[in-house]
Amino acid sequence: MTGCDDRTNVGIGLVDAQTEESKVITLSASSLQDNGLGDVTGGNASSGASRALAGVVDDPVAGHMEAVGLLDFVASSQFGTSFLSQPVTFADLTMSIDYVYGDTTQPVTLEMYQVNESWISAFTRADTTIGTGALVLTTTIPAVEGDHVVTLPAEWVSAFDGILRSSTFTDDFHGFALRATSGNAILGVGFSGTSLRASSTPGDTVSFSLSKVFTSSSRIPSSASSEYLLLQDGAANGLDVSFPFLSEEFPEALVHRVLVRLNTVDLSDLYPSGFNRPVVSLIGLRVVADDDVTRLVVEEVGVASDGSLTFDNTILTNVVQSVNLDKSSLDRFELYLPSNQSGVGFLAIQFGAISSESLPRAIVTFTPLK
Amino acid sequence: MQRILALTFLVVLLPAYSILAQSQKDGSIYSRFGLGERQQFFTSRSQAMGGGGYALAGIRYTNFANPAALSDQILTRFAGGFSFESIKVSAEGFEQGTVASGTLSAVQIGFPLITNKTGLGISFSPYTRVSYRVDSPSSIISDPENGGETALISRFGGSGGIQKLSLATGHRVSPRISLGLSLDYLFGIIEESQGSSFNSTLFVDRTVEKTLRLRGLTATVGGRYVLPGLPTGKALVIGGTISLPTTLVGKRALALTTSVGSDTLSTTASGDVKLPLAWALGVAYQPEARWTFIADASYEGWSSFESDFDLPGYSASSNSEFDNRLRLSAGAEFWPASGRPFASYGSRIGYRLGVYSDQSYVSPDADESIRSVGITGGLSMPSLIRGTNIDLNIDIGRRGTTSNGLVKDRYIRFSLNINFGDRWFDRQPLG
Repeated sequence: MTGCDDRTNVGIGLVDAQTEESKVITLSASSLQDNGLGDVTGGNASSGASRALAGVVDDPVAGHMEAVGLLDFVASSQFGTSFLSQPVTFADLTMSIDYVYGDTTQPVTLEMYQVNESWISAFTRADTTIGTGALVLTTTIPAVEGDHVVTLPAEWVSAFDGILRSSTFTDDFHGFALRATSGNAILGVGFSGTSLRASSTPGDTVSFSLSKVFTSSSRIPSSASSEYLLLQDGAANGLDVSFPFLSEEFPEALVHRVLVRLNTVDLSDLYPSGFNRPVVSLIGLRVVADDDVTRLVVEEVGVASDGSLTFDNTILTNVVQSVNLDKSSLDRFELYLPSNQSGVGFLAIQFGAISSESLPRAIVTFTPLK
Repeated sequence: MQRILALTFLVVLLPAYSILAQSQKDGSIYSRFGLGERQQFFTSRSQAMGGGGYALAGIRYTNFANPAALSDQILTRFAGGFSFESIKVSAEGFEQGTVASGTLSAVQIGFPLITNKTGLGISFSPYTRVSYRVDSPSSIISDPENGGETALISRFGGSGGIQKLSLATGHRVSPRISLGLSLDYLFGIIEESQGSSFNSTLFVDRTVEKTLRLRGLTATVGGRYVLPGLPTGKALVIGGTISLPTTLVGKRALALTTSVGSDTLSTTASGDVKLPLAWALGVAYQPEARWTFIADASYEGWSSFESDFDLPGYSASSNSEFDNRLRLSAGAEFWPASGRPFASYGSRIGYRLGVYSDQSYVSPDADESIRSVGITGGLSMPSLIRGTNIDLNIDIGRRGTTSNGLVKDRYIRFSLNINFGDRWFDRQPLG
């Protein structure tokens, strides 16, 4: 049996003396560093991958970047009797260029190699090396978006006639690798519109569509900036970021809200005209456990008009709550670019010799426990 | 009939007691501190006479103030009571509000093993009580870089307390001397909650529930001595008890809940809580059968209290300590028709009055002791059922001070106690 005509503030003075009010603090990042972990660049259309990249570019900020793209194909439909009954006499490859990063004023020359070994695309990272075979052809492509068709040499057609008409094509054929020899751009070969065609005479034409892709990439960075670190897609490593959650100014508490906010640097003035830089649209934040394997995606957000990035959701709040009560296996946070962007764009994250207001920071609303 | 009533009484009261003990949060804010507000209930008789009664003798009540008093029993007795408390709280001269709550005082049974020589009793009563609830509205900057304020309510609450289950026996060693022993099992759950509710979905409302479970055994020895040399019809009795210090083993669980009600995190910790030695002395004087006067003092050495757990007002890691508790009380009882069972109903009503002063063992402010002073009174009305009394008691008092940021409670308690008496274990005459 209880009752009260106005329980608000009845004796609050005694409670206030024992407790602390809710407060907001800003914790600047204690570290931000390249984690040396290559981006996942392999996949298929259903796994979120968009394209394979091939090319070479000298970026005024990011340095020298090189990408080797692998393409593999699968028969689009059942082969007709007329195709199977006659030898293949003609084949071409249509590459749908849907991404260009770099100098658009000069073409890119690509060498196309045979891939002789089976390879796995799923979760394959950019620093993985996959062996290639013989050179099939060399082609020069304008650094603009659009379809580019190359005819495969007669020798290649003759050599692969049996495989192209085989019911085990998927197992026997491992695709092509594209490597740039000149130019100053990286091109993306997209799933949509890219296909391998083979014709038998006087029979039929069969189309093989792109089934999986992978981009092996590398970067030789230019001189490091003291003001920012690059979060780069494709060639790319993620950035590890840590905050001093176990500090005295953040005691054992009820955590109500956590914002992680970063500022990006606008570097567009450093690029010449004609240098195309597709916008990085989404940036992700994930939690990395102390086993260095377990990862939990917190949120993927876009860059605000003022160049800031703000991660703000209950996953983040709950993770920090667990850390605060020493019930978490959190090791660090990781910034990444979602793999479905499949590019080589980057963001420059402010860090280092910048004012503390511009550092990556966690803004924590909490109530101390007593 | 009386047995049925008594058993019904027990069956209803015991579960109700445990439910009420867990659910209340509208008592004094002072109950937040330490292990809670210290409680003591021995009999409804002593409750109305200031709360002591260490030397009280008599066959109408089973007196658990002193286990030696259990030697007085002739009838098997069941007793229990319910109390209602209303508190007006003021701070710095301004009345802040009123809170009210109800609880059961105790459930007791006592019976003679050898009539008026050796008796046994079981008592279940609160030892401490935690019962408070406070809401505090405020606001907070939502995002220091982008501005905006969000309203929030900070909520604090506590409930529960430590209960005492006593098995006591008393024996009349000689016509003047009685000795007694009580084994007291202390156990209970103290729950504290602290939470914040925001007027925005951007924030996660969280509440932390701290639950402290304690249990342990202690013992109380008591003695009572009837002083010789007084004329016939007069009696002067002194009585005293010593309760041994004990260690309660405890486990504290901390659970976090969110606004959707699910447990998100929990931790547990084990530790000990050491309760101090306590002693009590009382004197009772009966100038004639109708009048009884008592005076009592009890002392608990809480300055030696130790706890592995932080408690409001006590830090396990620092040198904070509690105050020693001293309780002084005195009271009088008048039975107009004592010894005249066929007098009018009005004459058979007992009248009681008492005063007390109780310095609490814990204070929110180390420089300020919290003292309760009050007057008590009561009527003991015989019922239609022979050997059964219905007691109505009142306790009016104040606690604390408005200085040093503290609050003053002005309280009034009403209690209803029922005391059944019957012969249960008499041998049937042969033939």
